[in-house]
Amino acid sequence: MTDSARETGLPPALSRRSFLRRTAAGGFALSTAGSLASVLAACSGSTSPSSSSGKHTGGDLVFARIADPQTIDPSAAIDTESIWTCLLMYECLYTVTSNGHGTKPWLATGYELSSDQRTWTFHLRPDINFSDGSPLTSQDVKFTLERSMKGPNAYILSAVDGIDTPAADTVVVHTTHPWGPLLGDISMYSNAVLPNNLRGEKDAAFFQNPIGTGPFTLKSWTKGQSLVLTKNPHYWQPGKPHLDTVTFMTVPDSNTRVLQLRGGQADIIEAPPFSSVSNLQATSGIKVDLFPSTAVFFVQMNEKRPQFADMHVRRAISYAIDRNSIVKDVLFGHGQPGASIFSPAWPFYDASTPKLWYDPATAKQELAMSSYPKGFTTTYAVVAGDTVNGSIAQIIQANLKAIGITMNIQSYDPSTLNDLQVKADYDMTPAEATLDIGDPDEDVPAMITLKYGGIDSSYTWYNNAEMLKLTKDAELTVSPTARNSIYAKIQDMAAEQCPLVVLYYAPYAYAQQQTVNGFFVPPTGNYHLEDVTLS
Amino acid sequence: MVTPVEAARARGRRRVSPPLYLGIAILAVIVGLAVFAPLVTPYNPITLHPAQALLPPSAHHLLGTDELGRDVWTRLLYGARIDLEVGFLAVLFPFVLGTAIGLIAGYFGGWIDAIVMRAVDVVLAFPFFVLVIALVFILGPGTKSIYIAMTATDWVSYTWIIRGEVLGAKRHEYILAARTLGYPRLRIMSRHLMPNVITQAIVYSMSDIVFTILTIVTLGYLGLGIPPPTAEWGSMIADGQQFITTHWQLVAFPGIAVVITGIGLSLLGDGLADLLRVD
Repeated sequence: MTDSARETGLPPALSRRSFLRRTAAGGFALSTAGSLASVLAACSGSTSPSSSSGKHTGGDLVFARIADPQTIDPSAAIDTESIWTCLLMYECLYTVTSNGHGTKPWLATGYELSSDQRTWTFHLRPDINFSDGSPLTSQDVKFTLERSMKGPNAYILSAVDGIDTPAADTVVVHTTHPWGPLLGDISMYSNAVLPNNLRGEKDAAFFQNPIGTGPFTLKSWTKGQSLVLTKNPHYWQPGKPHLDTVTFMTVPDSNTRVLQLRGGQADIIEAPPFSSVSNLQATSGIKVDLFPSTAVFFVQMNEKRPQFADMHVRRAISYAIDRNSIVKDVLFGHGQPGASIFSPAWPFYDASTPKLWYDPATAKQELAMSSYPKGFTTTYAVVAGDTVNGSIAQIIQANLKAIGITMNIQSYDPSTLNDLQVKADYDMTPAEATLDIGDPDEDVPAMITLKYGGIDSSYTWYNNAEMLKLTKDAELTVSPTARNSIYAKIQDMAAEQCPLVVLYYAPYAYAQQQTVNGFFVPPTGNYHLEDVTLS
Repeated sequence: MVTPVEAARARGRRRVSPPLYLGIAILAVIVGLAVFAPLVTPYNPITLHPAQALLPPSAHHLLGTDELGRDVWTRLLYGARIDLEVGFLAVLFPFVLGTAIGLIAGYFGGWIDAIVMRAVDVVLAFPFFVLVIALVFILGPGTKSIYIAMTATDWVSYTWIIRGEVLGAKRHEYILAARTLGYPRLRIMSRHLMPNVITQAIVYSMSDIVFTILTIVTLGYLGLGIPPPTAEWGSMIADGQQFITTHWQLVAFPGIAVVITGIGLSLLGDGLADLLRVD
């Protein structure tokens, strides 16, 4: 199937970012690497980085996040902190709409699609300058897309055949086939526009002092501690950004972040624990936002194990799990039980997808129909120190015990667990998928089809020819209504066959001082801090 | 110079000190509670009761309940079983291994001693916690890994102690006499040398158990200890950490349990040192 994928120009691999986030299964409630780092830091007696104390005078926004960005090169970004930082410095031709269900023009004013649906002509906004004052031209866009096609997120542009620049304000993108997801692909962070040829500098030198069209530019970066952005004086949106600077602090421990917010050392904190949300909401001067997200949390099961190759076993597991208990006890009600492999914030989400939810009687019936009517013993692998998935594992363990499946819980360090998944040497493990663009095609092929990329149906090795065909159809179709019905079929089939047992959808939680205005996070998770003001 | 006769006489002058009684009393209470846990508490430490999650301390739940509705007092008692058992066994293995190696190295000397002591140097060159965590990471979490990691790293302490004692003791007349009589080396080492050099190691092992329990709790806290849902103090602290600002008792009581156990064992070690010390 690799060959046919190559012929049709289908994506070769899921982004390494999604791949990494699967392994860092703690999600945003607890970054495992972060928590380990904080524990080790606590052991060695060092303290969290000192933040600029006291009042946020003028326009400095102090923003405490779980982790430090890995890179500020958008084409190389794979972790959320890098992506969300890059999108403040560099921008795409199109961007995701605030409901996450589509794209809207950003650096471009619009596009025309040729009658054979294979040539997309984009018109650039005329008033855009880079942060060094030079104007944006189609050469910059061509260079960026071609550079991105050599990076780790190259798969997102695999349908692109060539890029022309007939005029300084016109970019023409040719695709091998009619390609539905193209606007979404163009809005991918890895395609955020950089100046042509990086102004003649090598990567390392350029990203010391990068140039972009975004509202902010890099001021300083003390790795592992803080990254400071400063206002881009040439920004194209009139009057924006309002802030002078943004200081991102790296604070891996969630309790420390909460204390920093309470102490006024931070204006915004990422991912306060769900257990602290109601408490924070009741604190005067602090507000909590739970922004709907594209994050889907599910259990993947290795179908190279005969138990999980049996669809009735997978359906039995889905019916056995008490999702309401997970949402209530682990998420403290701040989430919703899931059935579709799409979250409600994904475009083409189908609310009528069948719900194989908590029903022990049906679960037992399904197990009776399987080749393992008396149950079996299996192992659920979690990342060591990930208390959220640890608690969920214990609920699932109790649920499965009730239908006769003995499930042991085993914890591993993140890289070992990742190796086990790659080698298909695991039984069950929790995972997460998120979208960075307003199109499901970023994730769907790798999530539920085989040999479509490096991760083989989310390391389940689920293999269904009809699913593969539907996934390809959804890509080769441009009409949104036609794609909608294809994606509805995909969601139905995934829910019925349970290659992934979807558990829940959870929002992105942020807590802020009342003095912060205009902070908004679309379902893709990035934030437009040019709209934020401090009062 | 202490001969066996003198040592026997000295035994009569050994002192029983207050710390010994206090240490024994504290440990007896903890071990008693752990052993009779099913009689002390009506709850099961593992069964989930989602409807009763995060209750504050009350008459029904002395220390409240955790996020999955389990009684914290119950988990503390059952956790003591695990932490004490693993703590004791994880000291026993390096104790036996280290003592044997120390006896051999000290008694034979020469190139055997040189090799052993270089191996000891190599292990000691690594920070203990880093080595244990690295080993458990490689072996995967669980009691077996803890035993292997502790044995692999902790034997050096006992070898170090025993070898030093043996170097002094082997020059004494009773050893020379045993050799002259043609006793086998194994018999000399086990019957004549060991009883006279083991006391230091026993005293050390008491403080070592404290340290080992702390190590187990640390590993549990890092998610590398005993897999859930088994109750264990370290993982209780780790699980409770996310609630530290809202439900402090989830973290505080397992922490207090660790401290009290540590104090009990330290007092016992002090008392034993007094008791076994030769005047």
